[in-house]
Amino acid sequence: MSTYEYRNDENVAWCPGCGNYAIREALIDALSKLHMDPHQLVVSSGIGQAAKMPQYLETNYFNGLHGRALPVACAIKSVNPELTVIAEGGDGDMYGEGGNHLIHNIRRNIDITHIVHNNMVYGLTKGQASPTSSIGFTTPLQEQGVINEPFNPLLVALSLGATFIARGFSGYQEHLSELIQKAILHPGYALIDVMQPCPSFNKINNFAWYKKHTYMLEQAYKKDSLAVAFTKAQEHDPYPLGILYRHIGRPTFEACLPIYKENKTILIHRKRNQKDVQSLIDYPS
Amino acid sequence: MKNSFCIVISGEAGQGIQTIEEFLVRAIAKNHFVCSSKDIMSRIRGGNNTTEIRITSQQSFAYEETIDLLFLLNDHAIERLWQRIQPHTIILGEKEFLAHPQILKRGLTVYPIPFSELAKASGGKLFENTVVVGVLTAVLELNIEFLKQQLRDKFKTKGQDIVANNENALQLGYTFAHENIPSIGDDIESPILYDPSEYKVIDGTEAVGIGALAGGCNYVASYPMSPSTGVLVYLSQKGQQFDVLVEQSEDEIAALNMVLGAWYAGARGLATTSGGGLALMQEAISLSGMTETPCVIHVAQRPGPATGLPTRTEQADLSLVQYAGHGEFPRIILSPGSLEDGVLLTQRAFTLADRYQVPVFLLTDQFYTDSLGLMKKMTLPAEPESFVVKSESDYQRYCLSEDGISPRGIPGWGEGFVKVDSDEHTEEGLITESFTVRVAMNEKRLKKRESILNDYVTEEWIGNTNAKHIIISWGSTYGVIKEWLASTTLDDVTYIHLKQLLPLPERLQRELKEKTIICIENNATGQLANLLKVELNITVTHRINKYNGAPFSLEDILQKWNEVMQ
Repeated sequence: MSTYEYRNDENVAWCPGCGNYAIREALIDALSKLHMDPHQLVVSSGIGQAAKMPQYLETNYFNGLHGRALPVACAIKSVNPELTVIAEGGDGDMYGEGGNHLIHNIRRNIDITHIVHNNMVYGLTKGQASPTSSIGFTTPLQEQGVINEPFNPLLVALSLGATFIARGFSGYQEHLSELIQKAILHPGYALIDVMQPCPSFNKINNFAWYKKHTYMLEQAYKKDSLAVAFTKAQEHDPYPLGILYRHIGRPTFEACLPIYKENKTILIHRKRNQKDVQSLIDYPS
Repeated sequence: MKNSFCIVISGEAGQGIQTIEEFLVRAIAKNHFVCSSKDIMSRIRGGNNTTEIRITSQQSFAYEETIDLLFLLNDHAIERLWQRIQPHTIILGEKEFLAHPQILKRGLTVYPIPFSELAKASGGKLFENTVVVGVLTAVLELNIEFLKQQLRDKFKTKGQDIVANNENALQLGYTFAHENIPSIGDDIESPILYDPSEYKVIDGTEAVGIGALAGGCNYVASYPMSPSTGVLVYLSQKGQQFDVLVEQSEDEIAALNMVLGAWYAGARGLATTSGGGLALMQEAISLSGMTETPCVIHVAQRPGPATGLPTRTEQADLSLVQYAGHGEFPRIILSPGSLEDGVLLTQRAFTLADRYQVPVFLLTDQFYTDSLGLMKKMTLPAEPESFVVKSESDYQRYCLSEDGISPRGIPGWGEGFVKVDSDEHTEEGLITESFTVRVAMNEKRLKKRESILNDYVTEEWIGNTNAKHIIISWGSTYGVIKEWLASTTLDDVTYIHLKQLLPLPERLQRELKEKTIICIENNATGQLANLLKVELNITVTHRINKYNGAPFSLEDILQKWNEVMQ
């Protein structure tokens, strides 16, 4: 079995000190601990530095358009539910450009793991505000500071009925690996918002800032209470880390699809009977 | 006796005109060639909608303006239809609708029918449309038993009462007409050698749907948009029987990205949309070109720009499809003219997409999708060919090859990894900024155009190849031009119907040298004429265009031909 470790990483496009490196380590660790066959994994990603993740993994991937990783992931999982599908990208990709797909794939409850690198800034386009930037955050484009309320992905996901909602931090690699493992094992849509520093363009929310402004949910935290989760998801200083909400039992999108209701054979293994199609023409008018 | 007999039923949305159309067309098809088309307003209730049913002496799929028999279900249609009413037109309808001053002034033949009263007698206003069917069954001398069977089949799930009331309404309408209106059966020429079992009553939507199933389509993601939604609904209703996964996506952007994800994972996906939706899909079309992920997009055109005329027809998205998506990459554009084309070209679209790994567009329009006609029954080619390969451990998704086509693997099947990237990429599928690789990959993708031409869907020629005048058209104008030509004695005119609009073979340029070329198109600017110039440097001499939202009629073609040829 392959190790997910890509054999040639001399040309990594990430800046030194970027949180993406630690997220990649955590992801590889999680996949290895789950003994996941890389041939049965597909990573769907969009555009941005975070979305380059699959480039540095030895597995299948579809690195598509900005904001569109989720619809691609949804289709892959539904035509072949035997595959494990991860959609991965940054805050601009997933919460900005792809906002509509975020809403509707949570509603679908497609069984995928959604990892969003959240550094509260746009990196690849060189330092503009992201949907999660704090009010007052200044950039060359938002010279007077951000005026929009930051997007709260966990609260949005909760309100749409998501059944697995977690927040991690690239600085706590082992913890993040555990979150990813649990998210992959969760039957249904699982969102992990991963806080990470951007050393090139976000001088405010740096490594030390995240350490200071986050805390770990205690061991005894009740993950299955929607009411508690709604409160926790609104906490912002400090931000709670861990699984904020988990509910087992809501059927997945694939399970509800009419084509899988009675017949569990994956779609691509089914053969069209051309005689039946012919009967559509032969049938008396 | 005429070559065709044209019946128009005029009413408002919600009166069940479409049901009347379906019943009558199927009943007429037992003895005659028939086709029908709709003129619908973009609303759910009210307004004025018409359906035209033409009984013809040959297989036909065309629109005619002259009305022989008009059935009025409301009184606000006269102004709109006035141009189409001739001195010989017979008008049926509620007594007060027939008292319109224009009708009285012209002294037209009218037959009052108390259809709301007859409907009331059979159970209520709901059954008005069945009374109308009953009246026309008598007037056209159709088989009432067949119609009763149709009613039972259609309404059996709605309960005994509904079936009984419908049958009652049919009988009341039939009896009333039988006693009060002379039959016009003798005015209709019976076709020679017509065997109804050789034909199927079908609309363009169903033709595309059957073609998709025959092409192995097993995944559809789309956002509803007239007039393309019918295909989505058809495939959804066939989904259980044929294993088609149908998803109503959140928007058209999601739709095409989903279709690409489906093809990537080994399914055969279709997106069905109209011009506005296609505009939203453009980035994903480009993604299909770059990642060489196949896709099939059905574009049912309607008049634009923007929302345009949502329920009417036009052929004004050819240029959009020709250039859709940023960057340079090959594509295939197909467009059916006949119902038979609809099945065969849609089926072909999936095979071509799989083989050449390019976006394949299927261009239809509102007239095509919503019109009913008789399709000659055919035997489908057996299995759709699959070009997916099982990957080896050293598999490279974009390995360079002679013809530009790299074997396409799918994730989870074989020892290799399927790495697909929207950035310029290496043979393995990794992002690269190497100038050398960029040039090699660009050339690889563009090279596929030549191979696609080996599979060119041949155009149809009607007439003498030596003729001086060549009419060229595409898509749904096929039926009307063919029927008009058959009715003329012009011998120096040949008609070419292009079924594949891109890529085009250079042979056409040689064959069209020194000809007078007339392009007939349902748009304002002559988009095919422009395409022929750009692609093959063919100069179109005359452009015949119509762009008011209605399809070309037989009368239009005759009139515009005479204007151009003067």
